[in-house]
Amino acid sequence: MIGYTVSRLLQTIPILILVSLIAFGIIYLIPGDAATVIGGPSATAEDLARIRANLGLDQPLLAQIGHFYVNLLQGDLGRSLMLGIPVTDAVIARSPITISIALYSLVLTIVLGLSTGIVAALNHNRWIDQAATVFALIGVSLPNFWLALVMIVLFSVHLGWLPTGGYVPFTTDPIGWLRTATLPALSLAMLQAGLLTRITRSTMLEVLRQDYIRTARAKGVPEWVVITRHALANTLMPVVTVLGLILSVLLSGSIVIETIFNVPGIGSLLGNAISNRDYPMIQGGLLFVTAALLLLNLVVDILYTWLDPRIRVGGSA
Amino acid sequence: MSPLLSLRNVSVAFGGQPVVRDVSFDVASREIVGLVGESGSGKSVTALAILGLLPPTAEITGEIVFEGRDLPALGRRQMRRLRGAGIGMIFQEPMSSLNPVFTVGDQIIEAIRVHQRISRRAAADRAVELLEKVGIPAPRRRLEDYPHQMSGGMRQRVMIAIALSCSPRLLIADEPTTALDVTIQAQLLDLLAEVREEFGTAVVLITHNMGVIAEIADRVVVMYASRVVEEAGVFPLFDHPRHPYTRGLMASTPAMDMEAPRLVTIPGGTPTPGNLPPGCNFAPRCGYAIPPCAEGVPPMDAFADGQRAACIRARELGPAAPR
Ligand SMILES: Nc1ncnc2c1ncn2[C@@H]1O[C@H](COP(=O)(O)OP(=O)(O)OP(=O)(O)O)[C@@H](O)[C@H]1O
Ligand SMILES: [Mg+2]
Repeated sequence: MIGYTVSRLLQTIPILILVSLIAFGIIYLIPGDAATVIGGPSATAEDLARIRANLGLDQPLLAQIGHFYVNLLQGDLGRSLMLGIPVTDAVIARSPITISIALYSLVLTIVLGLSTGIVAALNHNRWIDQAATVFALIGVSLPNFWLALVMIVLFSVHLGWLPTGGYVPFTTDPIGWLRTATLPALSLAMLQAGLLTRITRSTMLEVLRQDYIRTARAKGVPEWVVITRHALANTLMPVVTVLGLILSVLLSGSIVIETIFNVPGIGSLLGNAISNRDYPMIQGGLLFVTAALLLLNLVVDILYTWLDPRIRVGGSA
Repeated sequence: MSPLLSLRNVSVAFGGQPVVRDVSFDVASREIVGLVGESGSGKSVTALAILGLLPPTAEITGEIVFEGRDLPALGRRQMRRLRGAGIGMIFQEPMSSLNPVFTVGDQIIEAIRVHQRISRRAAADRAVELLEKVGIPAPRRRLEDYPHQMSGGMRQRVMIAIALSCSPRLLIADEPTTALDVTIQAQLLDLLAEVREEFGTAVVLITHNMGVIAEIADRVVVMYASRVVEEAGVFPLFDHPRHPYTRGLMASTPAMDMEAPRLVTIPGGTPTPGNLPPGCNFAPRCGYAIPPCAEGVPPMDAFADGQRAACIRARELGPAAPR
């Protein structure tokens, strides 16, 4: 168990290095001269020189890489061209917004996906099952930005229940947070809930066919206990493994969704950085998001080994 | 005295396709009845029908009377109360019959507390007793084990402990030893025989293996392609089987040891439920078949010694010579 955790931790290091190299290299992926692209057509020769100096592009490549990593290890991701503040500060200021929406969205995903999947499995081949399958299919196939727009039109414009966008921090006003965060979280959650419904349904159907379920029934265990205790415990196990994936998708989906709902999170920060060619910001945001995803997956994997006694206790007879 | 369990013309079909037909037999208190037959003959379906554990798609007809109550007519709640408490069951697959995410102790304690209002601690003490009874060393420590930490033989012992936890009057053991190696098989059979001696539990023992039957059964019910073809005490059956299928079974069991192979050495294969020949199901493989055999399902013929065989030529052929 501990060995696994350690080796899993070590595995993330090369990935982090690779990602940071990619982040570093982004600036070289721009066709032509980065400074010219950033400066735009009206930039003077001095402007370009300033931009190059600012980005360190006037130094030898190895020195640039060395610089990049030395700064990175100190938590210094450079200074945003568009905001004029350190990238780290901007990321730290915006991340709670994205994280709170992603977690809210995860809760919605789990509640919707698990319950629909379980109800579908328990009513296998009946109309409820078919309805759930259609729901899952719709969730999986609709692009979330489209869903977001439909929900804005329906819930905000027509029904006027929720605002069309904006954001209120939870710590300032929980109700306000709920009003502003619900539509972004829901439009993110639908796709993942569809996926989770499918996984839960098929896992549950598989579990219900297992011999130990028959044993539980043969012991005289009431049917609802068979479902909630024996079947659910075994269904949740594989579901946990996809939680990391789901969270990853939720986080990356937030870039588009935050822009649509005008939520000032990491997503819209990155979106703005991209449209303004704010390369340090793009680098920093990318690094931050990937590091967060790696960490999440790490936590989920470790959680899984801890949940499953076959891995946790180990040692078969 | 009326029997503990009595099946009368029990038939089970899936989607209109019968897989068990007109099965009738009795089990008396304290009796060990062997249910034998090739793979697919309907043994497990019969057993699951008794406990009401078949999927809802199964269509069951006939009477299954246990202690005077017709089981298919019982409500869900009454049936549930009977499972585990009145009738315990052990399955063929010890490796997958225990829930992998709960400890062995949890699973035994659950079986006890489903039927008895006692504290967890008292149930745990009882679980330790049961594990000791079924021959698991250091039982108190084993309560904390997960199934994957135990061998197949140990898990099957745990299954037996669970099945016995509420002192049922009847134990149904569906090929409890097939998946295990020979020495463990022998130990478990001894254990079943002991259980009968000590608690007076009647046992329906399902098996492929005539050696196992010879070892512990009092009476034997032989199934072939969804029907009972012969029923007899274990001595008459081994001494003079009357149905040609049973004769074949005997001939295909090299010696009465427990390494006997699966019963497949009779020429030809078992017909599948959808492809039954007309008349006697065994006729196409039978060395004694005559044209009338294909004309109708042979009725059960009862002999003076209580032996019964479903073969129109049973009397004419006489008891098979002792081997
Ligand atoms: N749930 C089910 N749905 C449809 N058919 C089934 C179902 N369960 C069993 N059957 C069919 O019923 C027939 C009898 O099966 P059963 O399991 O009772 O055989 P068995 O005598 O126990 O064989 P084995 O010795 O291999 O365990 C088989 O043809 C099987 O395919
Ligand atoms: Mg079987």
